[in-house]
Amino acid sequence: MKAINTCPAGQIKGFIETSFSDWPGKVAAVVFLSGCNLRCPYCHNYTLVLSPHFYETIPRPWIASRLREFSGWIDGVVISGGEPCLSPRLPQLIRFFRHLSFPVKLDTNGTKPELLAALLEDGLLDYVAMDVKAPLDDIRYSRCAGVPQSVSPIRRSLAILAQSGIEYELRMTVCPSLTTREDIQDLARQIEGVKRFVLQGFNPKDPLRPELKSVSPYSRQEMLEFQRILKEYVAECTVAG
Amino acid sequence: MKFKLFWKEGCPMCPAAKNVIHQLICSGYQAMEYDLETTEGLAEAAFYAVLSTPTIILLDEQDNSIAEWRGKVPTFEEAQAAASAWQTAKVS
Amino acid sequence: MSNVETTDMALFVRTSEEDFRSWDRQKIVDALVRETYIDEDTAIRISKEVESQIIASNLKIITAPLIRELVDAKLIEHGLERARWMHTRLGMPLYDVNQLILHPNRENANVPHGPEATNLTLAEHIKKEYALLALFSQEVADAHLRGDIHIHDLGFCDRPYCSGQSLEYVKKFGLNLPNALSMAKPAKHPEVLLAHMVKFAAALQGNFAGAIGWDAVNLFFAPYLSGMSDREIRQLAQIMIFEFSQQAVARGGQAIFSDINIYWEVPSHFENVPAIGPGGIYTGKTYGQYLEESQRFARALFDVYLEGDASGRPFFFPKPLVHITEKFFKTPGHQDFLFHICEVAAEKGNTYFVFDRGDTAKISECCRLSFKLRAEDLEDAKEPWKMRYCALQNVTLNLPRVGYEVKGDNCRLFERLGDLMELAAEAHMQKRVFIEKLLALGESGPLSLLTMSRDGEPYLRLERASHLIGMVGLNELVKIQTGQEMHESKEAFMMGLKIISHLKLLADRLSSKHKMHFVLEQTPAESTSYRFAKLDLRHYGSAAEKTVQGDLAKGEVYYTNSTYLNVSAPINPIERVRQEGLFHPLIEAGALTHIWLGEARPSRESLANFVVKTFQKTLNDQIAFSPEFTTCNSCSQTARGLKETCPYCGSDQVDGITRITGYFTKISSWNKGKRGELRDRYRNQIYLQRESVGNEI
Repeated sequence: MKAINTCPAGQIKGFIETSFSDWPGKVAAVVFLSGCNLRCPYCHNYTLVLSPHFYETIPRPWIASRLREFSGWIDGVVISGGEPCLSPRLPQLIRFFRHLSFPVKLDTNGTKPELLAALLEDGLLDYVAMDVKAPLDDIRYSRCAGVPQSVSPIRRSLAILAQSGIEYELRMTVCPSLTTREDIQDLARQIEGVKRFVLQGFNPKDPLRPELKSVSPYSRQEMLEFQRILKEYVAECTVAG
Repeated sequence: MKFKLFWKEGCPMCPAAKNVIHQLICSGYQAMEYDLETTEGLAEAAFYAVLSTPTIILLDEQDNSIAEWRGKVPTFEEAQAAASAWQTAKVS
Repeated sequence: MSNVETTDMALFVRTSEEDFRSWDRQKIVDALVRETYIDEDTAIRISKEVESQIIASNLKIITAPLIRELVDAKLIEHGLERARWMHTRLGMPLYDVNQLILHPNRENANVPHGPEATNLTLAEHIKKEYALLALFSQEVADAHLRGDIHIHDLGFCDRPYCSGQSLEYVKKFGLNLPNALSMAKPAKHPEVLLAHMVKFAAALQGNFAGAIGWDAVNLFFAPYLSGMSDREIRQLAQIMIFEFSQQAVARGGQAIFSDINIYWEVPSHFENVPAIGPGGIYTGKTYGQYLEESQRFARALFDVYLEGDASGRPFFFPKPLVHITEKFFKTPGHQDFLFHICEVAAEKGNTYFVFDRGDTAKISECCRLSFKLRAEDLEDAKEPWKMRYCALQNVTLNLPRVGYEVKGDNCRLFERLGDLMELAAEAHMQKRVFIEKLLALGESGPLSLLTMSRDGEPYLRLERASHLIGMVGLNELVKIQTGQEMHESKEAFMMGLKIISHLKLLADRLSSKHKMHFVLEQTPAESTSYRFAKLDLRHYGSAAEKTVQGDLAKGEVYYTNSTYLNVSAPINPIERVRQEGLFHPLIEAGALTHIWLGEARPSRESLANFVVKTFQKTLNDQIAFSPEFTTCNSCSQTARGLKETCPYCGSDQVDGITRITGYFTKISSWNKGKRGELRDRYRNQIYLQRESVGNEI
């Protein structure tokens, strides 16, 4: 994988002013930050990861002016990526949005538990969506993350979220060549007690690994079967996308 | 800062609203009147989502609404108070 | 040669009565005298001249249509133009009929390909010719042919345009239609009521060109549902939706363009109205007392929409229009119901959210057409079977063309718009005279169904009819006048508002002048926007090339529909409902903002949140969310998004499905203009701005 990255992590490269799908119940704005420490084969935002320097950085004052323009409509801001927690300036960015009176949701892959803990400690977050890639063992996790990845920070992030009392959800993208029924079953046991879990179908349109383009996603029935499995362990499980 | 009045022929409360606007003009405020039966007037009313007459809207320099009286008529004092309250807020 | 006696001629004529007749010159004379104003002597002279010509050509067999053409040519030679016009033959060339029978029609995506559809198209063709020749004045017909205006559904010129009705009519009077083979008493069971409703809708489809809408369907069904289990109610809902969505055996194989209006609350104007129940008998209760049954049925209908058809596709018809009112929010259970209909919107897209703010009440039908109920209508609400409304015709103005003509001169712009409105009014008056003539023939005339008088007045209440005036390409007209599209500056946007305000005032003035109800409408313009763009490219060359939207090279050109903002501009849904909504109060006959969702599957709670805000913070009339789907003909699965191949089985035997204008269809049936628009639609997706001086690898 050629990862020429002349752009520091944490630049705002993408901006959706109105999303109905990134924060349940809210009309949310979403900013996408550059850079990621994982290389999930099915990633569809990989331009932010591999070639962020191709895209213009969106200046904060412009974002602020757009948010103000739609005040009363936009209920919160989602910080997504890439992996936002790679940026040392993330707390400052969150404060920027909070200062504009917007609640903030963070999308993270859970590999930076220390930062997550600090953000929660400071009361900077209102909602967290954390990706889980695979059952919590290093081999399977690394396979789905596309790079060697130990699960211990992932476990720590899960524990931090569970103890924080914050509203959060776990999200998992299931791709036939990477995730099996057993994987779902195993993960479900490991995360038992989680309140909200979102299953996301894999989209073969433009994945990071081009060879996945020929992989057919799980059918609706199979997704519903996974949902059934998960529902035995989590309070709420939805199928998205 | 300016007042905009939207009125229509045959609307019972419109003369009173016009009166208030004239008083405001005499006191040095900027004010415009729009007849809803004209193209210009109706377009302007549509832009400010005016559904009933009379309507008076007070706007700042960027045309943002500061105060609105929709389907009712403020007294001269109420209109003046809204304008000066905003000016005071702006200065401070 | 020319002195050969006609009796000696071995010439046979193929007549339109399917036989051969030997040549008889007198037939020409008879036709000329019968059909035109010319005297017998002139007719004989012409017939003799034609005869000589035919003899000279040595034909053995000649067709009656050819003789008519030869006679017409002679009439022209003699300067008898008016007689030639009266003697015109309508029809189609052999080649065209051949093409038509073999290839699908793309003008209207709701017409499938098949023998029934071909019949429809052939009939439409002749009626269209008839309309342009005989129904409308030459001035109006020419304006249509040039593309200054578009008179919709000319192929259905002998019917009114669209209608909204009440189920109460069927409940009270049963199914007792003129010319029917049998008559049915008022239904005693819900299934029978449903059967009556569907059959009545089919009968109405035969008498109207467009949509057939039904008011407060869940409420009017309610008295039949007392004591039914959830399963039974769900079953009934399923039958209703499948019946309407599969009515592809009706006119020309065309599904009935049907709308059902649904209320979560009991609308105030029906609250104290005595309810009609099984057998057409008053139940002794008022509709206010049927809230529970009405709500259960509403919920069940949306259960069915959520599931979709056997392969998970969204149902195309009937379109469910849910009225969001002040009372909606005061009715228990509204939050759950709102989530439910938003889930359907997110999952399948069916739901239309119709906003009735304040004391407004309206019936919606067609793509976005609605009738705001006036004081006299609310009086009718006490006897709801009286609540039947129609729009007589729809005429659309080609706005960009006005721009090409006045070339930026604003004074002339407003003057020219006035001329066009006069012309549209003229077209409406001519159609109205014609329809009145047909209606005057009563129950033995062609519109007998509309003259039936079960409650003391004709089914079609002409005095309440609306006459629709729509527009296409406001955005492009503004671009011509100001150099910017409406979303690009406040000045451009204000110009758009001014133009529509002007049209609205003109419509009001024409209404009081002619004592007819002219109202502005957002034309769905499924084919009109393509037609106008094509005609303007032909007649206005480079000016039009700079203005039309779409892909010129591929011929996939269009104008932005009605008062919409550019469909491709990255305008977020908030801005779209706000900005487009500012036009809606000026457009009395109903307006709609589309939010194209593309592949994204939104959260139902977020959509509900957005719907509530749109109700509270804007004057937007109606919104709909449109997802896109790919349905596979090999494995029968349906996926989200438009894809080349089935993501599940890889087959390329797939159909894309999304909203074309006001309804869902398969994209394969779309005309080129609409395909161009589809490619351009901004789907609220992330957009990454390419670095202008990017260091590409």
